[in-house]
Amino acid sequence: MPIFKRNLKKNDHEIPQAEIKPFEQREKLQPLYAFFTIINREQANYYIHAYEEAGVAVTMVLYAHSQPPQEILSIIGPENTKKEILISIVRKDDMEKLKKIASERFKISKTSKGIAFACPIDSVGGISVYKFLADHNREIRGENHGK
Amino acid sequence: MENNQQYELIVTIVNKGATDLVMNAANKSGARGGTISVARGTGNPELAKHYGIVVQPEKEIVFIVVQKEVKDRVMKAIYEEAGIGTQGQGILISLPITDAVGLTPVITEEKKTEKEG
Repeated sequence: MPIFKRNLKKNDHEIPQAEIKPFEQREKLQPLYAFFTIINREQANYYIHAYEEAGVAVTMVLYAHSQPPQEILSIIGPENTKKEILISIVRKDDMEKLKKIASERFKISKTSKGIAFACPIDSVGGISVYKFLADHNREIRGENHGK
Repeated sequence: MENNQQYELIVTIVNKGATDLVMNAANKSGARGGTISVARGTGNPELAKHYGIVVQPEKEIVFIVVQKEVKDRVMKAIYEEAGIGTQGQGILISLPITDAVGLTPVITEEKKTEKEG
């Protein structure tokens, strides 16, 4: 009986504890980018909808003014200095679609001209936020935005 | 995505009125200031429903430049005070900064004693 008890205790210590790995080691992470689009005022709605269709989860719209030199201002007119800055969070594999949407829209007319660029995102606060921004379950759902 | 630079830009998107929570948390954990801008938030309704996240239209964005070594601490503090599970419903991301001018370096107690010694 005492031997049995000792063995039980020994076995208890030998049971390996379930190792909890961090999320980034358990799952394959999608690189994320902040895609900036600077356009004239009241042009944002087109981009927001087009980007959402391409798979973007969140877009923020900031209002701004451009300050061109006097000689350029006289050509474009003071009404075209009002700008909107869109910050969209996008997966790396969706970025080409966004670039295509923006570059095609910029060609339409003088007022729809703008600039767009992307910056890599280093880190995201929270797993649920990452899952939302990267649409983590897209592969499971089997959806393929805009393709 | 490897970044060998000294600074990082923390971008926090929060509900209107929650910027104080962000700045207080950031200041307590090593950041020294931030810039607040008003923004309009739009979320993809399908994804928001799927992941149970509500994106309100009235948003404020806080831009904070921090040293890389305190970035994780600052982000954790902001996440706890104004993260997605709180009233602020904050979305936090950080972007690498390749060059920065005008930021005075932080002199820690260790560096002070090293200099004096």
